Amino acid sequence: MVKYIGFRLFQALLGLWFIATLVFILSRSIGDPAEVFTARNSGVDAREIMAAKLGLDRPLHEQYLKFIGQLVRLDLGESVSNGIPVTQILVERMPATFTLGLIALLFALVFSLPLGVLGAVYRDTPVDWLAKVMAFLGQSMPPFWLGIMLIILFAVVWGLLPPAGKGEWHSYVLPGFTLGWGVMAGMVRLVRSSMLDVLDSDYVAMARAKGLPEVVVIGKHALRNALLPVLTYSSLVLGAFMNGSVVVEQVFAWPGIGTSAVQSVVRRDFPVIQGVVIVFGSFFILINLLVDIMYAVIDPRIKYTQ
Amino acid sequence: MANTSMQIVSPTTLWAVRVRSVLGGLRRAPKIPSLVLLVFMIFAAFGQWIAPYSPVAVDMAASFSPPVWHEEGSADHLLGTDKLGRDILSRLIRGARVSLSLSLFVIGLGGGVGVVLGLISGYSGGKVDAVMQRGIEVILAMPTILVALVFVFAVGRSFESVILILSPFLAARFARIVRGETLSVRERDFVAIAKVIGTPTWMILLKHILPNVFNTIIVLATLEVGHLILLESSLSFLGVGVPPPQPAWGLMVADGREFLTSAYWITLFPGLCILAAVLSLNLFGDWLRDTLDPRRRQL
Repeated sequence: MVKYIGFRLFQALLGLWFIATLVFILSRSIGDPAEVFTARNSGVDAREIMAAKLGLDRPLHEQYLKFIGQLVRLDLGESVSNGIPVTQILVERMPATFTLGLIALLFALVFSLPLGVLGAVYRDTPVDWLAKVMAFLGQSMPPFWLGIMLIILFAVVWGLLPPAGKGEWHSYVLPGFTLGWGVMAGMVRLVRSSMLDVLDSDYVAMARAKGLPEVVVIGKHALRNALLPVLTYSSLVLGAFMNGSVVVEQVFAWPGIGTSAVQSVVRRDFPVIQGVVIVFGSFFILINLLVDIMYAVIDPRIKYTQ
Repeated sequence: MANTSMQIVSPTTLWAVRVRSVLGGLRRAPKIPSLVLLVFMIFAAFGQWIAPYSPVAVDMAASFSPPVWHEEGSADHLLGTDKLGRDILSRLIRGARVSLSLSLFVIGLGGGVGVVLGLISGYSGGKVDAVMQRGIEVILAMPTILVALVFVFAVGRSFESVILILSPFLAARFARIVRGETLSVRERDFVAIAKVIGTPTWMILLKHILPNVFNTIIVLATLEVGHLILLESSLSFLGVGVPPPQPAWGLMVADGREFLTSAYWITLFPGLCILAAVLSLNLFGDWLRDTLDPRRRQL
């Protein structure tokens, strides 16, 4: 077990290093890095100052070591458009992104649990059919378009909810739902299929044979066992949300990390993009690491097989 | 699954049986999804002859005309026009080519590499397998859209750069699943026999293992095309996809965002196209999986 966790830690560090190196290579290999790092239309002077600041006169391996050294100290440089340290920008914007992710997860769970359970219990009935339709639509609908359609309906036509921005509680509804929608599809399928497996099992047959009411059989014996894969999936989903949040935040002008990533692409603000990728990448890898370790703790059959 | 009884049949017969069963099975394919896919494929292949206008023809006099069923709409532009007066229907038809061809290129490049890596990784086992699997896990643990955002930002926006950055992610997914299949196929008797009679490794992979994982590859490819169309349109929407004025569906949705209140049709129809294409691919892929490969219900 210790060996497995140690190995996974090593692998996570390898992933982090890989992302950092990729960013480094991209920033140096394409054209003049001083150009990449300075704002568009800045003069020759600005470029030279930036070149000196980045240490571009030094040999490449020295630049690389310095870059990694700064990363280890969580120094991600400064935004070229407003001079604010990148770390500060990210820390300020992180809460908005995380709240949105949690709300999306909540939406996904609230919709998928009942639908998946009912779909499995009342197999091949309209409920099951509805669950399948939702699952397919969730998988196939582009999230940015869903968001825009929801804005048209709920904000423009009916005027019920704000179209964009972060304010009171009701401003969370549309972006949260949009981000959660795609994940919900996966969850409905997962709940439904793991419920079907469990309903076939001996202990459910046993519970029924004892004459327990169906509600108890489903709610207590079946559902609790079917939830395990759903829980693991939920934790992985937080990682998937980061991918989605880039798009969804853009649709709803949500002041989170995803928005700053897209804005900095438009402004050619490389230090900020670099920071977002490194932070999101690290978070992604960290979640995967925690899930794997959790798995190993819960299920001792999993072990590192080498 | 017929696989168990097919084990002893020679690969050539296996192919014949498979081709026949696919052709016979296609008659039972889900009607509507197959039809939708066929229409999109025709649009992608012959779009320039079908579309009533050029997708980039600007006609400021006709800007923001609504679809034909509105009072102010005209039959000149069935689905209306955008802010530059470009015909939405023509752009949708031509947009099919961008989405489909890009996805097929990625499937070809990324999927091809993934299959080869998966075969090698699963067949050789040991250190080769271990190193490859760790590499694949690293790639799968990266947020696709963000990495693509940075890559396209750095390299420049083009059809090729989108293909280049999406391919490794696809290769990793293919490699992981093909490896899993290969692990079980390589334990079968016919592989052992081929080894005993001295068949070279590449021949075993090509003639004995590949045909047996082929169903999985086909199913995976169908489902992944849908996934790729969604990814590509997301990138287009964010402004790092295929560059304008090429009519990509995701880009069209983004174009219409400013005019949500006045001209919903600019946004609505491209989104419906993406939805229809991806939904059909998923339904078709699901059917294909149930037909060809019933063991992999979770794919």
